Amino acid sequence: MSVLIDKHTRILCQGITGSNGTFHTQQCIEYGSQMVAGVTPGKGGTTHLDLPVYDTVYAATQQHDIDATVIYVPAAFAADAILEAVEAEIPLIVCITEGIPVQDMIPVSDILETSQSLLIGPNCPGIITPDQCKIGIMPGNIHKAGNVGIVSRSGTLTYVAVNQTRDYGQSTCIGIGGDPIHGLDFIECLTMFEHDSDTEVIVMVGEIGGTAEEEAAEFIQSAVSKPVVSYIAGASAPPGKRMGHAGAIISGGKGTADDKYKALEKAGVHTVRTLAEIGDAVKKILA
Amino acid sequence: MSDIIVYIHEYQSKRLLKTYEIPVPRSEVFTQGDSIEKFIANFGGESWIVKAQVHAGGRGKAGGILWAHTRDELKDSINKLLGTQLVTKQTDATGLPINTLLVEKPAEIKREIYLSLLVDRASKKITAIASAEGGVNIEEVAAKTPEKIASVNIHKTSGVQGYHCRLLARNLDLNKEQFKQFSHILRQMYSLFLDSDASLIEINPLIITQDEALLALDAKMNFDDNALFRHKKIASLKDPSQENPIELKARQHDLNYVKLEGNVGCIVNGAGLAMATMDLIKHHGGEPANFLDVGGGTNAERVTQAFNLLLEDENVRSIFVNIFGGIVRCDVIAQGILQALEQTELTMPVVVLLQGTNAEQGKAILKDQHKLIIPANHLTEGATLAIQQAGGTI
Repeated sequence: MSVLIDKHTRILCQGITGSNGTFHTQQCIEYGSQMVAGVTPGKGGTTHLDLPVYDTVYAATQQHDIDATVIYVPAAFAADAILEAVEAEIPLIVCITEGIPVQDMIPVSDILETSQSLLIGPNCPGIITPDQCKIGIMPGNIHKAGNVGIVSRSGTLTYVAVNQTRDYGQSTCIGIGGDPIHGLDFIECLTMFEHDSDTEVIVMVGEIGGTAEEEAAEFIQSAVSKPVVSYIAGASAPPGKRMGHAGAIISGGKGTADDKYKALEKAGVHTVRTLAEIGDAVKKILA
Repeated sequence: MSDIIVYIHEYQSKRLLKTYEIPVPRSEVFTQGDSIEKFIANFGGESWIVKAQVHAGGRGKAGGILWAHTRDELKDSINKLLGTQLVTKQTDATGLPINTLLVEKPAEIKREIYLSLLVDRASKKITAIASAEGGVNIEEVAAKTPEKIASVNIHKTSGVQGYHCRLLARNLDLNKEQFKQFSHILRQMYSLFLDSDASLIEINPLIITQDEALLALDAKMNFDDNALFRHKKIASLKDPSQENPIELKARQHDLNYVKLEGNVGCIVNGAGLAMATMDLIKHHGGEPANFLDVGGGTNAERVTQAFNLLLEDENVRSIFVNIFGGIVRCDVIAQGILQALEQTELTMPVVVLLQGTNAEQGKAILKDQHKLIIPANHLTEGATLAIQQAGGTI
């Protein structure tokens, strides 16, 4: 078992003919992911990387069974692309695009609430179940199948966590993205890892800003039986300074690293104060 | 990636409010080279408030807002502020240059309330917040007397409805006419919020004048940098003089950089890892000089630009290059670092940590190749070496 995706997952790519879409679709195919088709408006009827290209997501769904879609569409059109995938009832939507205007994401989140689709991202590396399926831009070669489940708001920090847990391998790694309005949150990912038989330890990498980690802490206390290791980035960030991730803005004195660590420790989470210690903390639990 | 929030000046915010028919005090902008005599003749009045236009809060307490009761006092206030630096609790020790003043007709304040709109990440909606008590201590009001604060989410599909206004105004003690004005202001603010891709519009204080009218005495607006491509007019309101010169240069090179006060320069790929690297340095007793994200897939050119950027910060004593090779391989990055070092006038030690794809090959390439390079094998070692090389903290 794994979380959300496995070797059978059939994947569509929106924005397949762009440079990012092309490069990462190739990488995903090489990794063994089941890419089945692509969408680029205006290029329907052509083929790209030996895959059929359609004008619309709907047209692709008429010809293929699709379990997931990955979006590399430029920021100005990305919300449109997500909504198109929701309309076509694609179960899992992974949006890699960074820099989407936050007000574009408000109607997206409203519409997702009443749909059956799940959204990962935007502004994220994607999701990978090692040796089975990779949807996104993460380097496949650093991953190894195993029993650590990783969920993170930051791309490169996910990779660092993967690298440090290479002795045990990973069940599934999910980058939920750093934007203020995003799809899957920590609680939903924790729930899936809790119910996944392959996952023995969960690593949760948070960031300052917002209160998602505090809410996750409460949830862990009541509903997660598996050990959770957590690191929160941004303890040294000066208040009010912007740090590149829209989510990482300390506002109103809430959402500081200290607040988050306190909440997590109260919930029995194994917290580490530097990213260098993630691997050791996992080792202690699994040894 | 560039900065996320776009700040504008108070006078620009008030012009926008005025365009949306939200009442603001009578005011006029005064800049370097304007004639005070002419200004007074045109503006008239018997007393004035002179407000320094800088991109920082805490202006009043820092002496950036002056009252003038005579024409001489007005002249003095203008001369005292214009062309100087204002240091507030939100700026660094150098402060921000005062190139523009807003001279305003004082309003007769009966009461100060508060009204704002923002994108709330928890509810994923636009949220309106009102408080019966406004002014500089609004955060204290929120912490100590939360019952004075009312907030409500506004759905994009419905827009502002009557009940939103009634919910927000329930503690504000407004008469019928004032409630009408309040509702008008909220609806107009909301239109402006949508039209301009704002992330925050805050009127604080929104005052009730002695003659019972509502007036926006101060306003703060932030906009979403990611949406600027569709708002040329807002983009033109950016004021580069209010930005740190190194940060400004960084943005021209599309590098995500924030200047800090320490002496360990950081060059990292990925915003999360960059933040975590600062945490690591601080955890081991050092002080990071900056946040710098060269982007997930980096190359020689970007590393060169990053080195040159750190050269501009005279506090930097050592540099910690922390790269996690993913799809971009560490051996390619190592070549890039060597190339970058040849192209800069760097004289300080550079601690290099390469992890991820082809890390060992990368390390082999750097070994004994350059006198400034100190290789590190893991995160903690990299951070502590960089701190030692910087000679401890400032």
